[in-house]
Amino acid sequence: MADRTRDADFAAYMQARQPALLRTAFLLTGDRHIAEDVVATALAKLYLSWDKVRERDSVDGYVRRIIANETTSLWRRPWRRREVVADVLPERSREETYDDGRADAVWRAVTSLPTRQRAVVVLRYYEELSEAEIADVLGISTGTVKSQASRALATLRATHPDLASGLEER
Amino acid sequence: MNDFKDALTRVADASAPTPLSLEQVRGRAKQIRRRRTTTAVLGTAAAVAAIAGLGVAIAPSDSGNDSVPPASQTADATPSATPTAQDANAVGPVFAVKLAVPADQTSGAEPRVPYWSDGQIIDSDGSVTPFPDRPATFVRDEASGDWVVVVLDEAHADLVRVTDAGQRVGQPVPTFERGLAVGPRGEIVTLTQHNTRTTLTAGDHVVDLGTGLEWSQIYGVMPNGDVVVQGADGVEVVHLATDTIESVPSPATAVTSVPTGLVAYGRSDGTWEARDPDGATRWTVDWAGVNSFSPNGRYVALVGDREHRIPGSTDWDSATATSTIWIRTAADLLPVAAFVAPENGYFGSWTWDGDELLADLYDRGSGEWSLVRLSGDGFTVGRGTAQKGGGEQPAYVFGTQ
Repeated sequence: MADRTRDADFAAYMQARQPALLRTAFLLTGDRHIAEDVVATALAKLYLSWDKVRERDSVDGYVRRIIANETTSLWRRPWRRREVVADVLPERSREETYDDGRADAVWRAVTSLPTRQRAVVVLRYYEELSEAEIADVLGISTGTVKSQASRALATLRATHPDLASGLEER
Repeated sequence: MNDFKDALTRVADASAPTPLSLEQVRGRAKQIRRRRTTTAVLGTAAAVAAIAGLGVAIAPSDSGNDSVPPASQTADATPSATPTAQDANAVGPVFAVKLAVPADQTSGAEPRVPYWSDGQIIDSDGSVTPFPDRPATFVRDEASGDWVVVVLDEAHADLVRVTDAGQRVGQPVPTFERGLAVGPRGEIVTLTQHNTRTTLTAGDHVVDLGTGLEWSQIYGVMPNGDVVVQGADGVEVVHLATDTIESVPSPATAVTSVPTGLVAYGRSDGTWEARDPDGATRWTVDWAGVNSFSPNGRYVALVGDREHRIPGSTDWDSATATSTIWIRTAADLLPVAAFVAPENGYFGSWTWDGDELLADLYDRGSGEWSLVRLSGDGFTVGRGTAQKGGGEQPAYVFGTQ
């Protein structure tokens, strides 16, 4: 009975939050299949810790941390897998029908950023988290959040001045 | 909603990853639970083996050849093939580093430069200063004899002074993670912040860099004492003689050679250009990143092989690790030697020790960091230098050079 209630609570959370978590994971990884994998792992870990975590204030924060960690882990895996970086962007999948020019340009600019800078940009301007929250999610200091954001914005200003015009350093 | 968020929202909405069912999540949870159980059992077995003095290396079942070679195994210092096919210029010896210490080896990789490890700063003469907090970097202030240390906390970096006995002197001063360097005459160079105003101090010379600089760092110092820093809009050179600041167009980062004045500028597209003090291009490289010049100016260390580079960036996929380190001549980039970490390991930190590099090498199988000395003659693994630690933070922190 307790398990059924527990699962019902968890399922309700999943239903409510999964779409947003998938969107964030996609923006962090740039690949819908990897995003699904990352979110599946994050939700599974949340499921295992649900009794403890749901008592806390921010279940979202907990899941975001796992997603960020999993994304970082993915980038570390090449040390083992020896993936070769492609010089050419892969063909765009059928889902990418958002392009009105600007969205496509923003996306290409964001995906050109190094992993951590990209994570900071996504969490800051998409999730609208504070520096302290981003530091917590990524497990880094707020100083590093600032430095990574500063570098990312400098790159975006240099390469896409029109896109970065609305992005203020806070 | 700002335009930027609006654009990202449309991208994310259009990507539409498939929602998962509760059953799928439960299945993944079962896999994770099984993996945790297996790892815990193996961890216990390894601990029992260590206690019993059996010297048995036990690795997780999915880790392939992650086990640590026994200490009696002879190090393989035979040059092998070139590390990457992309490196068209790669000739000269390439060493596949193995964490093996020959039984008759009594020394080799022990540091001859200051380093921090296990709560202590150890000077090159072996003297020990207690310093429990892990520093970002540190240097001996020859004028006062104190250690000047950058420490990090959650929110910011502080500069602290410590006596030989480990006593802190004065109040911490806000700085940046890389806000400490050494000038050509041994003078301490710092970037500090007070009420959002950033100040560059080089010995007795103080330069006001203005307010509002959210993040900065010292990239290096020139033979005349000029300092290359991160300014508001990129790389800048602070000319001490005139108290003027010169912006360097386009570079995203820089590495300087104090004795020669050679500066390698990294652009955001991942290419590097080394320039002489007169501004002439000495060499360029685009298949690896420039890391540091040896303090004597003879050599340069390149890291971040192409396999692990972020396309179109000076960064690679880990800010703190590389699987390959090249030593090349600073003047013309001629190869001296290249070192490739074991498949299950990576170099986490490194510093120059004369003409050689002293590197901290992490082994995933054992979860240990070991010191390895790298030179044109090959490599030597330090006996007794292995330290347990997470893979994120090297066990050894080296002083600023």
